[in-house]
Amino acid sequence: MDQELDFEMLVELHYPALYRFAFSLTRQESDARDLTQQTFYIWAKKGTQLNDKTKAKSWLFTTLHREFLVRRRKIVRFPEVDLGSTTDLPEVAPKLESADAPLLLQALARIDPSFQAAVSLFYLEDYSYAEIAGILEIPLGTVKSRIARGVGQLQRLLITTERAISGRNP
Amino acid sequence: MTQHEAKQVLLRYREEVSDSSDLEIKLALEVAARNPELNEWLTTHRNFQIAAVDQLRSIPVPPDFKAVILAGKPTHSVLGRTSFLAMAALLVGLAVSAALWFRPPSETKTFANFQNRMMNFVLRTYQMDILSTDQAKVREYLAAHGAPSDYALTPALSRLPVKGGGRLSWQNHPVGMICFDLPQKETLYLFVVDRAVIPDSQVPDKRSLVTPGARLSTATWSDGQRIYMLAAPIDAEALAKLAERNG
Repeated sequence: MDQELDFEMLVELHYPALYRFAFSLTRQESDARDLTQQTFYIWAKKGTQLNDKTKAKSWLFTTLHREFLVRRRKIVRFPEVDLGSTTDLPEVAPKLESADAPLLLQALARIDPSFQAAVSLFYLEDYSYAEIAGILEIPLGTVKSRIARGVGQLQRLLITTERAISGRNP
Repeated sequence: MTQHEAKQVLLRYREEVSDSSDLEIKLALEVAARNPELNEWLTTHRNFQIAAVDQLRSIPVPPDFKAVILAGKPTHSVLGRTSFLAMAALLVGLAVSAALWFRPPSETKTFANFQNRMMNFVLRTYQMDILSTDQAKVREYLAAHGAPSDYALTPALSRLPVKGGGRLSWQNHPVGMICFDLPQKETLYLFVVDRAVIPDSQVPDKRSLVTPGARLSTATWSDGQRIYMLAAPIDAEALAKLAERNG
């Protein structure tokens, strides 16, 4: 059987997942489209050299994340973020309603940038920690730590937002 | 492990991701099982994780986006502060390169090629565009996305539970995909394409042509303006029964 991955089929299989990952990182449709297109463009140039075609999806995610980092480095001077102590854990996880999706995305954009991609992949795909580590090219322990701390930050931000909203609308 | 430490570990806990070999998670779950307060926190946390998954996975994808990728048309970016000229040069470069890379495949429009492509799709990780047990909703989705939706099911297929479907593309023509649950817990795929897309006349009209395979069996037939292809990892005899048009 032909082992070459057909470009059209590859797009068919993975463009929604890649777009959602890009959108979770950028929160802008135009940027998410651009990153996703660029990723497939790079695949067209280099991806065919990938020996193990079963890793095409991970390769695409890694490439998209690299592209995102390259672009962000050009435009953002990373603010000094107080990562905070994980001792400051939320007492209780916030309740998410279906209408809260924009709030969740906003909160995701406000967590420490180094946690964002790991947290996004953790929720968007059913990848194991090891697979996320492979995609983001960081050690397994770092992935676990970033997800835990990122989710903690996410919950704290959502609780703060929740309280602010309920304070305004008692 | 203290309650606080268990909570820290469980922040990264999600049933679909965390496996039983993760000792930290295992230990934290044991602590939670013995600690009512932590257990209550874990219940709420689990609900949060499920809701977060649902919400992020429902980020809408622009409906025209796949066609844009395939056409290789770059969109403008608001990410960079790159100068307008540099960006314009990049876009022109991308457009030229993409036009070369994304040109239509030279593959000929034969049924064998269509069959091979659909089998490749089944054998690799696939994704359904719509998950639904309602056949009408799947048809509605396919119709809305330009794929054949007026397909006729064989009697055996109409008795199978549908699980979803999707719109694929072959040679820039829409292909409808309908997925069914088989009693063996396998997935059965039905692909439907316009007869006009595949001019070769090897597709049987009256009876189904069943092809056994090492990993997949397929059955094909045509009916009116449509060509049908069934594929599933089951033996050819079982597939032939599903493709039987006289019940």
